[in-house]
Amino acid sequence: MLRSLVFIATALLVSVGCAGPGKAPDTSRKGCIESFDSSKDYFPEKTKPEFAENFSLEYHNSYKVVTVRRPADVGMEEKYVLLQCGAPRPELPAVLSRAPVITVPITSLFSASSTHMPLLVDLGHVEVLTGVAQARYITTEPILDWIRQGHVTEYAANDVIDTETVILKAPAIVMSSGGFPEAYNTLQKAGIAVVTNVEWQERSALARAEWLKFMAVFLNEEGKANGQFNAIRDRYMALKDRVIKLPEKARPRVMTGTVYRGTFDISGGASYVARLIADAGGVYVWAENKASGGTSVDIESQIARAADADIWINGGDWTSLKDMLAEEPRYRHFKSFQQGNVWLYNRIVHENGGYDYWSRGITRPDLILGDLIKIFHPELARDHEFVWYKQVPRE
Amino acid sequence: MKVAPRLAVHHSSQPAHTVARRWSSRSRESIVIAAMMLALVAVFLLSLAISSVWVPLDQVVAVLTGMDTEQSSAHVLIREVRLPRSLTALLAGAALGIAGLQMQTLFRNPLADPYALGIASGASLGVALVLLTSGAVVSNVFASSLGLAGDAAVTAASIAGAALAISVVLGLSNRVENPATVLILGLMFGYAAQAFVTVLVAGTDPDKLQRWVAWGFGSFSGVQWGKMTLFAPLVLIGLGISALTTKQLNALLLGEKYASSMGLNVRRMRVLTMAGASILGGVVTAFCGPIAFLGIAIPHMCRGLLGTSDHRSLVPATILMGGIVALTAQIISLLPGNSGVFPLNAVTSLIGAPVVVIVLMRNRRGAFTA
Repeated sequence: MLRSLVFIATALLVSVGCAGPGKAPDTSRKGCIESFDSSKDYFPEKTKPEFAENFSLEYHNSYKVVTVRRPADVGMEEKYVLLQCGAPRPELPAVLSRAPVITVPITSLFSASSTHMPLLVDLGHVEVLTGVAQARYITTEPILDWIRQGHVTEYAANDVIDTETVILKAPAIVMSSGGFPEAYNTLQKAGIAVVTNVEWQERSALARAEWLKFMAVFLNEEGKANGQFNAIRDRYMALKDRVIKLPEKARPRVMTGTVYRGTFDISGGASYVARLIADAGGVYVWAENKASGGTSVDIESQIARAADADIWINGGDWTSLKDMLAEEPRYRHFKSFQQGNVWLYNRIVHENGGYDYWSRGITRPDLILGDLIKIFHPELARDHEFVWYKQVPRE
Repeated sequence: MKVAPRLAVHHSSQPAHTVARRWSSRSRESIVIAAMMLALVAVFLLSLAISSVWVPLDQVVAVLTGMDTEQSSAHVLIREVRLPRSLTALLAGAALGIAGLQMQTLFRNPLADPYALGIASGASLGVALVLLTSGAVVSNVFASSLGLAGDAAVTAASIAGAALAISVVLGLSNRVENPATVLILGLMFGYAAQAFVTVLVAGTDPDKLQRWVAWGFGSFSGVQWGKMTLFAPLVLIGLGISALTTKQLNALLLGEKYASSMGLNVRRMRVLTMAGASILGGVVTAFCGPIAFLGIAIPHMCRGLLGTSDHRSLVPATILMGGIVALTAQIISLLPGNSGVFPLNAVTSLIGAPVVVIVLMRNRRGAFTA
């Protein structure tokens, strides 16, 4: 009896193991090479980052090399070899000896960040998503449908990566958002490629949106990415042109941030928010600050610098000006607050509390810019309807 | 003779002292306390004049003397930011110093501090529930039921958490004889509360975690005038309890048995002292976050400087010294040109620890003479 139980259990385990996806190279996939010709260029559609500073691409006949320059605040650059499915493994130079080799187009993807979701939606490849770190932060509707249908495994529900689940599901890549938890080493040892997407380190919204191309190289969708990104870029530039000739005195002074216990969390002067403010014809009060992400200043410095700012964007979860005062009575010393010129990107809030701005906004800097121009210079954006920004009401 | 209890105290720690020496130590105490008063006034004024934004000294004076125009930015900076912040630092430093002193005396343990009874852990559990739980669960229900928003909810949760810690430990302490057992109860409550906090931290998204980390840095800047109307009276009540019980604290130094033989209701004194220290520690944690180090260090500094364990000198000295050290730490954390924020807790410990070591080493008798 016991012996037969053991036998059944073993048989089950073996069959589960065999059913694991993504093990053997599947040459029957669409677009896979059937008879390899080393002189043929298998990537007729190429792309190249124009604004993004943190990744670069290099094309060869049957493979492409992706480099991420700063996968984390510290640490060396990372390279990945993307090999066309069905092609033989190429002779790689020594610099690539440690780079993971990933078969493209990928058919499965574990993603660590909700900011990757709009990239998949825009490129029309929701179906490759097989795992997400935490489903509860996702606000991208087509992805949520996909999750509801049960196609997606949650692999870090409590912030801790469940390495066993990831190894068992064996995705083609795990796309992290930087940092290097120990778990990633374990995954790499188990033969799972970990790819770093650090779009958040870019210093302009256009450069962030350009990580659409980064996602595209794994899906062989360069053509689509180029078309979409160029359209976004052109719209962005056209909007920017509307304000470019404005004289200095016609540009409103703009502040950002929210206070917590006397410390203001603001956007850094080298951040993409600061860049958006400038491109929308505003003057950021902390423009010469060096931080490329968010940063902190004490309330005193903020009052000295921003008390006379005309417009306040990107604060807390405020529902009214009254609500703001309840949080911090000293907000009343800011001119932008006194005049009710406080704007938040909470026009569309998802039912799980997530802001649509944080998902769709990633790939639509043109719409963000349109909103900001409409706030700073309403007469120059009459044709634009607000997408995300909303003025904080008095009551 | 009026100095009788005082003699008794000295007797326990310094039996070889002569009467003449005692009188000289008394004058030393007066001089030290007078010097502290001057230093406190100086540091307080300095903290109004020096901060991350440069305000010319004549403008500082104009604002403080009411000679300026209402709406100047110097007026806002000094009246609305610096003055409440410096007052908060002063009160918080005094509160933590006194709470630490009470705990050290009550438990006759030089390592005891205001957080020994799990107050900080209880407060941090309350704060974690508000800051870290996602969406409409506990935090919003809690906040909306009290009609509070943002930081007010954090403060309220912190007070509730600290109160929970106090009531659990006080409740249990009535059943035990040995004060050391109470200390261990507090420690255990702390571990239990920390365990819950760890669970909450584990499942939290980075934005919320950042707030949580910021809370842990400690800050005197969050108490604006509106909150001061609650903060200051609560601290003054706690300080008042300590000022009214100096003789009883002196008696406790001799041990609970001896104190009760002197006619002290030890159990009542224990509850009163713990309640007082808990109010002080809990209120400061609620409004300023868990400020490290001051509670344990200030009493040692004062014992070292005064050369006595007599609470009639120690209590005022600790209040003054707490204010001096907290204000100094505040000034250092926001030196001119530093618009970024240097965490207060880092300053208190980095600056304070060497000072305590120096005081202890110079005072060969050891700073804790119970």
